[in-house]
Amino acid sequence: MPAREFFAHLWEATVEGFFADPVYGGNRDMIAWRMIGFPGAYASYYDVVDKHGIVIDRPPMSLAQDAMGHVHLNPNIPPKLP
Amino acid sequence: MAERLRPVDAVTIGVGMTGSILAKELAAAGLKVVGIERGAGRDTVPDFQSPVMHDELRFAIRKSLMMDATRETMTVRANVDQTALPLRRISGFLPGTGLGGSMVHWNGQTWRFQIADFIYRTRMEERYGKTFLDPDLAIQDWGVTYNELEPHYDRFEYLCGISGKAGNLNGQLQPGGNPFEGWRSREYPTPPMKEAYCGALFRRAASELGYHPFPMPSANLSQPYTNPEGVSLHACVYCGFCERFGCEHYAKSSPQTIVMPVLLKNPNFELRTGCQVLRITLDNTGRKATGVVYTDAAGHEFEQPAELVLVTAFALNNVRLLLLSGIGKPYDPRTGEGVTGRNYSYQTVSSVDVFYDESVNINPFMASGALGTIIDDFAGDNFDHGPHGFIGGAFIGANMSHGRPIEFHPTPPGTPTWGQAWKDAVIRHYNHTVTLLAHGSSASTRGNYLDLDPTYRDAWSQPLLRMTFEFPENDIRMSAFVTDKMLQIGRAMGGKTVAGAPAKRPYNATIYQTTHNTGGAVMGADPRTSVLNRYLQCWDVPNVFVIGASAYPQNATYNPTGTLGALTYWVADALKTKYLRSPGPLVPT
Repeated sequence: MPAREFFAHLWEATVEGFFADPVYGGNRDMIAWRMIGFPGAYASYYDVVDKHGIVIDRPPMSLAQDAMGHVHLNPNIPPKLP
Repeated sequence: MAERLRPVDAVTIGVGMTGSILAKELAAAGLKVVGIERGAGRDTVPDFQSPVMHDELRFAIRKSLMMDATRETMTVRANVDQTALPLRRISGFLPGTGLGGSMVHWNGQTWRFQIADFIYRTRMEERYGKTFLDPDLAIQDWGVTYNELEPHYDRFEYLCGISGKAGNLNGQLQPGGNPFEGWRSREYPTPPMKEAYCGALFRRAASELGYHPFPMPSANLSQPYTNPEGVSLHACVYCGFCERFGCEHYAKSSPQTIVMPVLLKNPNFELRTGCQVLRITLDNTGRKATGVVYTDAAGHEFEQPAELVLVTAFALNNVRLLLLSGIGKPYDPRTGEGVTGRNYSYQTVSSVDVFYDESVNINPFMASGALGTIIDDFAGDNFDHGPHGFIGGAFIGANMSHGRPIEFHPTPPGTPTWGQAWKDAVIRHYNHTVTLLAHGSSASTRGNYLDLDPTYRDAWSQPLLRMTFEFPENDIRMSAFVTDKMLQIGRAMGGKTVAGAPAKRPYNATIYQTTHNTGGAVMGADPRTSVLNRYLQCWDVPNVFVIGASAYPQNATYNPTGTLGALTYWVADALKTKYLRSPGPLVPT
């Protein structure tokens, strides 16, 4: 495989690991999301979408988080992708 | 040997948007209908539910809802001198699979085409003269007019509950809507969505420049709605997981939220999922379809006889099925003869990033698929192309449909692509960038077409579809023009840096652009240049109708789904009021 193609694939996989939900084993403590300000898996912005420019300062949310704020791995999602 | 099943009145190949609407109409009219779907059955509950659905890696990147490229895919090349290679991962465009089809994972941008779009060649030659068009262009009239389709556009929009603001009610211009649109007989069923910050910034700049901004017509609903079938949808909550995802909130029009509950209750309808249609069978005259042959998930082969065959798969798969079944003479780009595979076209898109300083919080994650503010000033027939030397155009707008970070992490030109400097730039710009989009037309040409690949086969040993496509020179010039206009608007929006480039050759099928693959089984008035007559009925095999964006002789400025919805009801009407009373060709040859 040409080095260029290989590196493009490696770079893509790295970005995926870095920004994907922590259930996949990367983005520990949602560090990548905190870094850029992505709130994660919140279900609704209905009340704030037209409050232009507001600061969202809530901690991000993983899709594995339950209502108590505990993060747990989803047994249906393998920790390592095939 | 295929097991022969009991004959039915009609079969749909694919149960997505067109299949479910037509099956519902025909089953209600008393026909026994079987819907054959290659993918799994699925519904809002439990399949699209949160939090599982908010998984960017699984759905947006690994594309869990899309066609499985390990079983079937297509090969791609730029011209006839190249050897096409298979797409081993689906990325440039995203045909869906499973009940509801691609309308499950779409964004919901629901447009009408322009009056001029349906008489494209006539109108362009009339307005600019016959020598104005590039000689390689193969653009054609549709054989149906906007005025004929208007009631069917209306019916589809009311089925979906589209949120928008009319710009032209029965010829009267309406403030706040798109002043360039074709007339509509009544207002949208629901009002426009809330406006996002990116849209508000775009609206102000576009207005100052003298353009005419309006809200994107959206199938992400602004308020709860019950459609004429009695099916209810909820209001969109702007969660930012729309395209590439199923909607957990019942807020995006999809077969499951607009028609499936009614269809599945009708005892005249039977759904078979996990069944791959291999071909349409013809009698010994080749002029009549006798049914379809399919393989179920266990590998058993069945023959389903049917009086009427509705080809309602994704556009590319419609064309492939016709080719695999020997329906219509395959198009040959060297001679220009043949029809099946002819006039494949796409969409010509480009984007511009407007980078703001850190005081401007765009919050791109508060979004939905069709939340946008748009101008139509440079679309289709809305401006004089005379001085510019191309046909077609684009709508331009701010419709940031999400802020999911694997896909969205813009950096200004000159930023390294990795390392600390890249990371710093991502942090600096993620929440302070507006992306604008120019969504442009795609002219058909003699050289762009679809046929069967001579080498590569699918999991059922059938030849893959081969796509031969390169952006036409006309569209490259169009994209340069509209991207320049978009850069001007971007600069008027007050960003610190504004960057973007027009569409360019070569076409790259590994980078996502749109899923607006059109043509290949086009409708028209002349059997020498179209597979289908104006009722989407095969000229050669009158009991086969092919309903998909595959029928478009070229692609217009806009997203194709609204027009496909209108055509679906146009066909339903023709079947019920004409064909079923007297089965046979609806247009004499």
